[in-house]
Amino acid sequence: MSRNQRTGMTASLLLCLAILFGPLAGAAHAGPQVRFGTDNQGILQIDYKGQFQMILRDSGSGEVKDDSTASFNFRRNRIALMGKYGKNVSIYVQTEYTENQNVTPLTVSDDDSGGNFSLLDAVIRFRVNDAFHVNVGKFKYNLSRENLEECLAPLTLDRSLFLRAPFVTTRDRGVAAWGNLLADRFQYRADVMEGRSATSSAATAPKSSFRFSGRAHVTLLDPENNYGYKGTYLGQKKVLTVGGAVQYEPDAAFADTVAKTDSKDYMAWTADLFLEYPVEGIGTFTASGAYEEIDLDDAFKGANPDPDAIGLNGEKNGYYVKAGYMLPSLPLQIFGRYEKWDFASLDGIFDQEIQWYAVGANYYFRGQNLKLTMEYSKTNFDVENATSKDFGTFVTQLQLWF
Amino acid sequence: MRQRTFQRSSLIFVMLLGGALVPYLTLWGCGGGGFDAPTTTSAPALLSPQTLKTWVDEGKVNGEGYDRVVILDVTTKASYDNASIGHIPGAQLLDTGSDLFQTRIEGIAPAYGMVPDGSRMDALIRKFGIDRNTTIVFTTSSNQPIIFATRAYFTFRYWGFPKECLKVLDGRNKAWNAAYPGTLTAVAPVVTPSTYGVRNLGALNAGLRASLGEMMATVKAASSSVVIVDTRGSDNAVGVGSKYSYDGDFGTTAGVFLPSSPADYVVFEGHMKGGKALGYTSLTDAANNDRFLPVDNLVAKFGAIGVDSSKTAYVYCRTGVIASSEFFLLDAVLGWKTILYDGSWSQWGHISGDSTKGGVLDSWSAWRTDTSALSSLIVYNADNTLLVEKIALDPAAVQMYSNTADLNANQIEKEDAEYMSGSGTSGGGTTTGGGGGGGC
Repeated sequence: MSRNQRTGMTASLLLCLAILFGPLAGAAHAGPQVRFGTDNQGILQIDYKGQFQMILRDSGSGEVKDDSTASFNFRRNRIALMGKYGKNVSIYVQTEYTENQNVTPLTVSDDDSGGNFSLLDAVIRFRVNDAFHVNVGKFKYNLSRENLEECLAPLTLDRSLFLRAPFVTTRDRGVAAWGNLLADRFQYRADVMEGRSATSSAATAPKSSFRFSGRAHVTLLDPENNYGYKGTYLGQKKVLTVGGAVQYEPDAAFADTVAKTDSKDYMAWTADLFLEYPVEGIGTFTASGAYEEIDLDDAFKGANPDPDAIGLNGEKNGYYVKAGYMLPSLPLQIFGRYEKWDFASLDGIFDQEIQWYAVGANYYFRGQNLKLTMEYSKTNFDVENATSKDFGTFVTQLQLWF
Repeated sequence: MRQRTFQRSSLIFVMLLGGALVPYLTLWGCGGGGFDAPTTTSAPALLSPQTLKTWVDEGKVNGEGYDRVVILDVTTKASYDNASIGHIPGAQLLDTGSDLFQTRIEGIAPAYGMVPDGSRMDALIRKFGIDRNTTIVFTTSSNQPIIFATRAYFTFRYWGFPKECLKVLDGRNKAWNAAYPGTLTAVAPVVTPSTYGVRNLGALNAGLRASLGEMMATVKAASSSVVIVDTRGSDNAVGVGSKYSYDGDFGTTAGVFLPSSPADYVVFEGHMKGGKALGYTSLTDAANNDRFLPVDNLVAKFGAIGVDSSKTAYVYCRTGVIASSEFFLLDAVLGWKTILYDGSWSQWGHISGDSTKGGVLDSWSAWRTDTSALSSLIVYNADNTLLVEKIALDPAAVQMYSNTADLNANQIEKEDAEYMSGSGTSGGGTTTGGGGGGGC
């Protein structure tokens, strides 16, 4: 651990104490609600969701990027608008504003990346009955469980840095149908999404096609029956869920973007397991893991592969396991996480492997509404070069859901 | 009692599930596994003719995809085109007459045989169809020494190519011909040019090259962690020829700027202060197609002059070509730290401040190398009635750079770094495709 990181830990402890005994301790509230319509059938609620981080990394700065890096920034900085009219129609709209997020999963960028405002989610949700819902708009697609977990309710600091699907962000535009069957023990999901956008298709992709996903899970004990999952239920539920998903998009990328030949399909699959079990007087145990494979039909072997078919979000496979334990009498949760990913080609290295370890703790002042998280992670490369060197990161994060 | 029994059974349930979780996911992880990495990059830097023949037969030479090979025959056009000499099928000509060397200003005067500038490198890279997936094999004609192939290795290393992308054919075309007689050809391949360039490689490996100012500082510092290696040879260390500049034999270092006839020479002979002689021919096996000695023998040979894995070896010769052979062995085969002094003795031996011997510098110039602090066994060629080639100083550089440690006086590396970053003016050329850092 670097000197910078030790200083950071001290600062984190001071911050923790300040929050414990300071005026913020009792300040968390739900967002304001507006009711409207006949019989007050309409409800509109506004939430603020913020995750403010202090990041200390033992490398990334200086001329040869081996000096330590210190940064304050927002990981998430959102305003969410949730609405409902009656039992069958609801909306969810969420904005994001971040600026200069220069400390990225594997690098520290040289230049300020600037501010970025986006409409993160904008979805209209129709509920026919418990067995059939339809979502339309921009929202999370149905592949990995962890991407579908509520961003403000993870077990560890954040979701995996490596499981994102290619050519999209964590959200996509499209239509999804989903529902719960067999007394909520079985959930199905199917979506048709934009996938690689039509704009990029005109320039570098073989065709403009939709992306198709299918996901299902079996959930025992207390059911997980919402569209979104959680990384921890803070001991309020007993959950055992096993799930899996596939995703497909034809003609997603060229293996030779110069000659515009050798078109490749995109195919992904994942399987996941989640367990949370509170034991009275002992505490809450949480464990979860998933395997994911992103396949672009070996586009990386082409003469000039699409740059998005390789790299962090390109062809890869890997898994994560994470586990946590929450004390019975104190809202303190300790956690650990391990990930191992093989990348077809990453920063010029073929068959690169990354192992990622993390330990940390969450302290819940007001559940997920006000939470302090500290996490130390280590990122190890199988093959090191000038741009891929092992590093450690210490993050302290204050989360406010207001 | 009932409650306690329930708690205990719940805990056992959780522990059993948790215990099953880790091996379950670990098994999943093993199921995915890695991806196919290129096989050519993992081959040894000193490539056997047998391995290269396999790549030729597999269609990898001038092929397509992520595991392709380009063979560069570093020779003269006359040798390349001559059917009786020939080249390996698919090999392209890297012309020693026009491609590999460039006269460029360094310090206060033009220097011969320097690394080519960025625009020239980009033109070569594109002409040869080299891209991010290419493994490059350097060789040379049977009638040329291996040093031209290793000089190309140094040049490409300097310009940022990763070590694993560059190979040298052990024993050059001579060893190939011995293994596969009758397969050399005079037919040149038709190659599709690439759009690749040095800027795709990320950064210049300037640390592998010593400029004149850097070499002077190194000699003066006389660090115990540095060994200066004169690869031209000496009476006690086999080299090229039978008379050695290292030993102070006059008339051994020909001039480089004027026509070869009438014969002329640098101002003085000798060697850098503290330099150890290790002629490159002592590292090859003449009875085995001039292939390099086995690693154990190389370690012993370098060890005898104090070079080991803990030291930095500065290698030099006459024009930086011979020295590149030992640079290659240290950098690629042994993996030890080495730096090539590009100007070598054709630059060093010219930088004299004695006007009575043909020197053109002022006697008090900080750049002069014919001093006891920098050179040993100094013998002036003019004292032996030999014609001395006078260099033409660059008047502006003389005015600007009185300090040999001035970083601006390292014009070549400064200009090349600027070219790499896209701000340079040497040539134009933009590159497309790929991304910074890596690839081969």
